Amino acid sequence: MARFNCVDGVRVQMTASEEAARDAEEAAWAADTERREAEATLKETEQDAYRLARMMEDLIAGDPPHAETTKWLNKRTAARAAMVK
Amino acid sequence: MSTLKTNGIVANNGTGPIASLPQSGGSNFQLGPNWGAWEFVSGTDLTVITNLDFTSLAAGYDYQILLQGVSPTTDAQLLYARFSQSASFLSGASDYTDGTTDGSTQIDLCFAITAANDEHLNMELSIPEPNVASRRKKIFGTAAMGRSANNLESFPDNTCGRLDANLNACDGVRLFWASGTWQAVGKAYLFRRRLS
Repeated sequence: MARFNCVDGVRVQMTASEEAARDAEEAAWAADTERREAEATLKETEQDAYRLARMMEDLIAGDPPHAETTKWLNKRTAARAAMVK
Repeated sequence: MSTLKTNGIVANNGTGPIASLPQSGGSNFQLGPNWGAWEFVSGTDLTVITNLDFTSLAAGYDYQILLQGVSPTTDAQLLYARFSQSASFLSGASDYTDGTTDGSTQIDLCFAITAANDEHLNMELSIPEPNVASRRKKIFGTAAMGRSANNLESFPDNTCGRLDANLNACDGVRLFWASGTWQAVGKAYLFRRRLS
Protein backbone atom coordinates (compact mmCIF):
# COMPACT_ATOMS: atom_id res chain seq x y z
CA MET A 1 0.00 0.00 0.00
CA ALA A 2 1.27 3.45 -0.87
CA ARG A 3 2.62 5.61 1.93
CA PHE A 4 1.97 9.34 2.26
CA ASN A 5 3.50 12.31 4.03
CA CYS A 6 1.68 15.45 5.09
CA VAL A 7 3.89 18.36 4.03
CA ASP A 8 2.60 21.72 5.27
CA GLY A 9 -0.95 20.41 5.16
CA VAL A 10 -0.69 18.79 1.72
CA ARG A 11 -0.84 15.00 1.35
CA VAL A 12 2.13 13.86 -0.73
CA GLN A 13 2.92 10.31 -1.83
CA MET A 14 6.35 9.03 -0.76
CA THR A 15 8.96 8.23 -3.36
CA ALA A 16 10.06 4.60 -3.69
CA SER A 17 13.33 5.31 -1.86
CA GLU A 18 11.53 7.13 0.99
CA GLU A 19 9.16 4.18 1.32
CA ALA A 20 12.04 1.71 1.40
CA ALA A 21 13.82 3.72 4.11
CA ARG A 22 10.66 3.83 6.21
CA ASP A 23 10.05 0.08 5.74
CA ALA A 24 13.58 -0.58 7.00
CA GLU A 25 13.01 1.63 10.07
CA GLU A 26 9.78 -0.15 10.92
CA ALA A 27 11.42 -3.55 10.51
CA ALA A 28 14.19 -2.50 12.90
CA TRP A 29 11.56 -1.26 15.38
CA ALA A 30 9.67 -4.57 15.22
CA ALA A 31 12.87 -6.59 15.65
CA ASP A 32 13.65 -4.57 18.77
CA THR A 33 10.25 -5.11 20.46
CA GLU A 34 11.33 -7.71 22.99
CA ARG A 35 14.29 -5.71 24.28
CA ARG A 36 12.24 -2.51 24.41
CA GLU A 37 9.45 -4.11 26.42
CA ALA A 38 11.97 -5.64 28.82
CA GLU A 39 13.56 -2.23 29.31
CA ALA A 40 10.16 -0.58 29.97
CA THR A 41 9.27 -3.26 32.51
CA LEU A 42 12.64 -2.83 34.20
CA LYS A 43 12.14 0.93 34.44
CA GLU A 44 8.67 0.49 35.97
CA THR A 45 10.05 -2.04 38.45
CA GLU A 46 12.89 0.29 39.43
CA GLN A 47 10.40 3.08 40.07
CA ASP A 48 8.20 0.76 42.15
CA ALA A 49 11.21 -0.38 44.19
CA TYR A 50 12.28 3.21 44.78
CA ARG A 51 8.80 4.22 45.97
CA LEU A 52 8.50 1.13 48.13
CA ALA A 53 11.82 1.97 49.79
CA ARG A 54 10.64 5.49 50.48
CA MET A 55 7.40 4.17 51.96
CA MET A 56 9.40 1.85 54.28
CA GLU A 57 11.63 4.74 55.35
CA ASP A 58 8.57 6.82 56.25
CA LEU A 59 7.04 3.90 58.16
CA ILE A 60 10.24 3.23 60.13
CA ALA A 61 10.67 6.91 60.91
CA GLY A 62 7.04 7.08 62.04
CA ASP A 63 6.35 9.79 59.43
CA PRO A 64 3.04 9.95 57.56
CA PRO A 65 3.32 8.59 54.02
CA HIS A 66 4.65 11.12 51.52
CA ALA A 67 1.98 12.58 49.21
CA GLU A 68 3.77 11.04 46.22
CA THR A 69 3.61 7.60 47.86
CA THR A 70 -0.13 7.88 48.40
CA LYS A 71 -0.62 9.03 44.82
CA TRP A 72 1.46 6.10 43.55
CA LEU A 73 -0.51 3.57 45.61
CA ASN A 74 -3.81 5.03 44.40
CA LYS A 75 -2.63 4.88 40.78
CA ARG A 76 -1.54 1.27 41.12
CA THR A 77 -4.87 0.35 42.67
CA ALA A 78 -6.74 2.12 39.86
CA ALA A 79 -4.56 0.50 37.19
CA ARG A 80 -5.14 -2.96 38.65
CA ALA A 81 -8.89 -2.33 38.84
CA ALA A 82 -8.89 -1.19 35.20
CA MET A 83 -7.03 -4.33 34.12
CA VAL A 84 -9.48 -6.59 35.97
CA LYS A 85 -12.56 -5.13 34.29
CA MET B 1 -14.94 53.83 19.69
CA SER B 2 -12.88 53.20 16.58
CA THR B 3 -12.29 49.77 15.13
CA LEU B 4 -8.86 48.53 14.09
CA LYS B 5 -9.13 46.60 10.85
CA THR B 6 -5.97 44.52 10.64
CA ASN B 7 -6.68 43.34 7.09
CA GLY B 8 -6.13 46.93 5.93
CA ILE B 9 -2.68 47.29 7.47
CA VAL B 10 0.14 46.91 4.96
CA ALA B 11 3.89 46.72 5.52
CA ASN B 12 6.02 49.43 3.97
CA ASN B 13 9.36 48.77 5.67
CA GLY B 14 9.47 45.05 6.36
CA THR B 15 7.37 41.94 6.13
CA GLY B 16 3.96 41.36 7.65
CA PRO B 17 1.27 43.80 8.73
CA ILE B 18 2.36 47.05 10.38
CA ALA B 19 0.71 50.34 11.41
CA SER B 20 1.37 53.43 13.50
CA LEU B 21 -1.37 54.30 15.94
CA PRO B 22 -3.19 56.49 16.61
CA GLN B 23 -3.33 57.76 13.05
CA SER B 24 -3.96 61.36 14.18
CA GLY B 25 -3.30 63.15 17.46
CA GLY B 26 -1.63 61.83 20.60
CA SER B 27 1.67 59.99 20.89
CA ASN B 28 2.48 57.58 18.13
CA PHE B 29 3.29 53.91 18.74
CA GLN B 30 3.84 51.17 16.24
CA LEU B 31 1.71 48.08 15.94
CA GLY B 32 2.88 45.30 13.68
CA PRO B 33 5.03 42.21 13.33
CA ASN B 34 7.31 43.24 16.20
CA TRP B 35 4.65 42.92 18.87
CA GLY B 36 5.75 39.42 19.92
CA ALA B 37 2.39 37.71 19.54
CA TRP B 38 2.06 34.21 18.16
CA GLU B 39 1.08 34.30 14.51
CA PHE B 40 -0.98 31.55 12.90
CA VAL B 41 0.90 29.73 10.12
CA SER B 42 -1.19 26.67 9.29
CA GLY B 43 -3.82 24.23 10.55
CA THR B 44 -4.16 20.72 9.16
CA ASP B 45 -6.78 18.02 9.67
CA LEU B 46 -4.89 14.75 10.06
CA THR B 47 -5.32 12.09 7.38
CA VAL B 48 -3.72 8.64 7.21
CA ILE B 49 -0.09 9.63 6.67
CA THR B 50 3.33 8.39 7.82
CA ASN B 51 5.20 11.66 8.40
CA LEU B 52 3.76 14.98 9.51
CA ASP B 53 6.16 17.59 8.12
CA PHE B 54 6.40 21.31 8.84
CA THR B 55 8.82 22.78 6.31
CA SER B 56 10.11 26.20 5.18
CA LEU B 57 10.60 27.41 8.77
CA ALA B 58 11.80 31.00 8.34
CA ALA B 59 14.81 32.69 9.94
CA GLY B 60 14.09 35.07 12.82
CA TYR B 61 11.14 33.19 14.34
CA ASP B 62 10.33 30.86 17.23
CA TYR B 63 7.86 28.14 16.26
CA GLN B 64 5.17 26.28 18.15
CA ILE B 65 3.36 23.10 17.09
CA LEU B 66 0.01 22.19 18.64
CA LEU B 67 -1.35 18.67 18.31
CA GLN B 68 -5.04 18.47 19.18
CA GLY B 69 -6.56 15.03 19.75
CA VAL B 70 -4.23 13.03 17.48
CA SER B 71 -3.46 9.32 17.59
CA PRO B 72 -1.32 6.59 16.04
CA THR B 73 -3.06 3.89 14.01
CA THR B 74 -1.26 1.14 15.92
CA ASP B 75 -1.41 0.81 19.70
CA ALA B 76 1.53 1.62 22.02
CA GLN B 77 3.58 3.90 19.75
CA LEU B 78 6.26 6.45 20.66
CA LEU B 79 6.07 9.85 18.97
CA TYR B 80 9.34 10.86 17.30
CA ALA B 81 10.75 14.12 15.90
CA ARG B 82 13.50 15.01 13.44
CA PHE B 83 14.92 18.29 12.14
CA SER B 84 15.68 19.07 8.51
CA GLN B 85 18.55 21.07 7.04
CA SER B 86 18.29 22.30 3.43
CA ALA B 87 14.97 20.40 3.22
CA SER B 88 16.61 17.06 4.07
CA PHE B 89 15.61 15.33 7.33
CA LEU B 90 18.56 14.16 9.44
CA SER B 91 18.45 10.52 10.52
CA GLY B 92 22.05 9.57 11.34
CA ALA B 93 22.71 6.92 14.01
CA SER B 94 23.66 9.48 16.68
CA ASP B 95 22.13 12.70 15.36
CA TYR B 96 19.81 13.29 18.35
CA THR B 97 19.62 13.17 22.13
CA ASP B 98 16.49 13.06 24.27
CA GLY B 99 15.48 12.41 27.89
CA THR B 100 16.36 8.73 27.75
CA THR B 101 18.86 8.17 24.93
CA ASP B 102 22.14 9.90 24.16
CA GLY B 103 22.79 9.32 20.47
CA SER B 104 19.75 8.25 18.49
CA THR B 105 18.26 8.46 15.00
CA GLN B 106 15.40 10.63 16.35
CA ILE B 107 14.02 12.47 19.38
CA ASP B 108 11.52 10.47 21.44
CA LEU B 109 8.79 12.87 22.55
CA CYS B 110 6.53 10.74 24.76
CA PHE B 111 5.65 7.49 26.47
CA ALA B 112 4.00 4.76 24.38
CA ILE B 113 0.59 6.09 23.38
CA THR B 114 -2.63 4.17 22.99
CA ALA B 115 -4.63 4.16 19.77
CA ALA B 116 -7.94 3.89 21.65
CA ASN B 117 -10.47 6.20 20.07
CA ASP B 118 -11.62 7.76 23.35
CA GLU B 119 -8.14 8.91 24.42
CA HIS B 120 -5.81 10.65 21.93
CA LEU B 121 -2.80 12.92 22.42
CA ASN B 122 -2.80 16.66 23.03
CA MET B 123 0.62 18.29 22.94
CA GLU B 124 2.31 21.70 22.74
CA LEU B 125 5.82 21.73 21.29
CA SER B 126 8.18 24.71 21.30
CA ILE B 127 10.99 24.98 18.75
CA PRO B 128 13.02 28.09 19.64
CA GLU B 129 14.52 29.79 16.58
CA PRO B 130 15.24 26.70 14.46
CA ASN B 131 16.54 28.62 11.45
CA VAL B 132 19.68 30.18 12.96
CA ALA B 133 23.28 29.03 12.54
CA SER B 134 25.79 28.23 15.29
CA ARG B 135 23.24 27.36 17.96
CA ARG B 136 22.01 24.07 19.48
CA LYS B 137 18.50 23.20 18.18
CA LYS B 138 16.01 21.89 20.70
CA ILE B 139 12.39 20.87 20.87
CA PHE B 140 10.44 20.67 24.11
CA GLY B 141 6.88 20.60 25.32
CA THR B 142 4.07 19.31 27.46
CA ALA B 143 1.42 16.75 26.75
CA ALA B 144 -1.67 14.93 27.98
CA MET B 145 -1.95 11.43 26.57
CA GLY B 146 -3.51 8.02 26.87
CA ARG B 147 -0.57 5.90 28.01
CA SER B 148 -0.31 2.20 27.16
CA ALA B 149 1.54 1.13 30.33
CA ASN B 150 -0.81 0.50 33.26
CA ASN B 151 -3.77 1.48 31.10
CA LEU B 152 -3.64 5.14 32.15
CA GLU B 153 -6.21 7.05 30.12
CA SER B 154 -4.97 10.54 30.94
CA PHE B 155 -1.27 10.85 31.63
CA PRO B 156 0.95 13.97 31.79
CA ASP B 157 4.32 14.30 30.07
CA ASN B 158 7.08 16.88 29.88
CA THR B 159 9.46 16.26 27.04
CA CYS B 160 12.61 17.57 25.37
CA GLY B 161 15.29 16.61 22.90
CA ARG B 162 17.98 18.17 20.78
CA LEU B 163 19.83 17.88 17.51
CA ASP B 164 23.32 16.60 18.26
CA ALA B 165 24.66 16.29 14.73
CA ASN B 166 25.67 19.96 14.32
CA LEU B 167 24.72 23.58 15.08
CA ASN B 168 23.58 24.46 11.55
CA ALA B 169 20.31 26.20 10.71
CA CYS B 170 17.22 23.97 10.46
CA ASP B 171 14.30 24.59 8.12
CA GLY B 172 11.82 21.87 9.04
CA VAL B 173 10.45 19.52 11.71
CA ARG B 174 9.03 16.04 11.13
CA LEU B 175 6.73 14.25 13.60
CA PHE B 176 6.11 10.53 13.15
CA TRP B 177 5.25 7.39 15.10
CA ALA B 178 7.83 4.70 15.83
CA SER B 179 5.83 2.39 13.61
CA GLY B 180 2.76 2.79 11.41
CA THR B 181 0.76 5.86 10.47
CA TRP B 182 -1.22 8.73 11.96
CA GLN B 183 -4.93 8.09 12.34
CA ALA B 184 -7.29 10.41 10.48
CA VAL B 185 -8.30 12.13 13.72
CA GLY B 186 -7.41 15.46 15.30
CA LYS B 187 -5.64 18.52 13.99
CA ALA B 188 -2.10 19.90 13.86
CA TYR B 189 -1.42 23.63 14.07
CA LEU B 190 1.75 25.64 13.45
CA PHE B 191 2.35 29.08 14.97
CA ARG B 192 5.38 31.39 14.90
CA ARG B 193 6.66 34.38 16.88
CA ARG B 194 8.92 37.03 15.38
CA LEU B 195 12.12 37.70 17.31
CA SER B 196 12.79 41.30 16.28
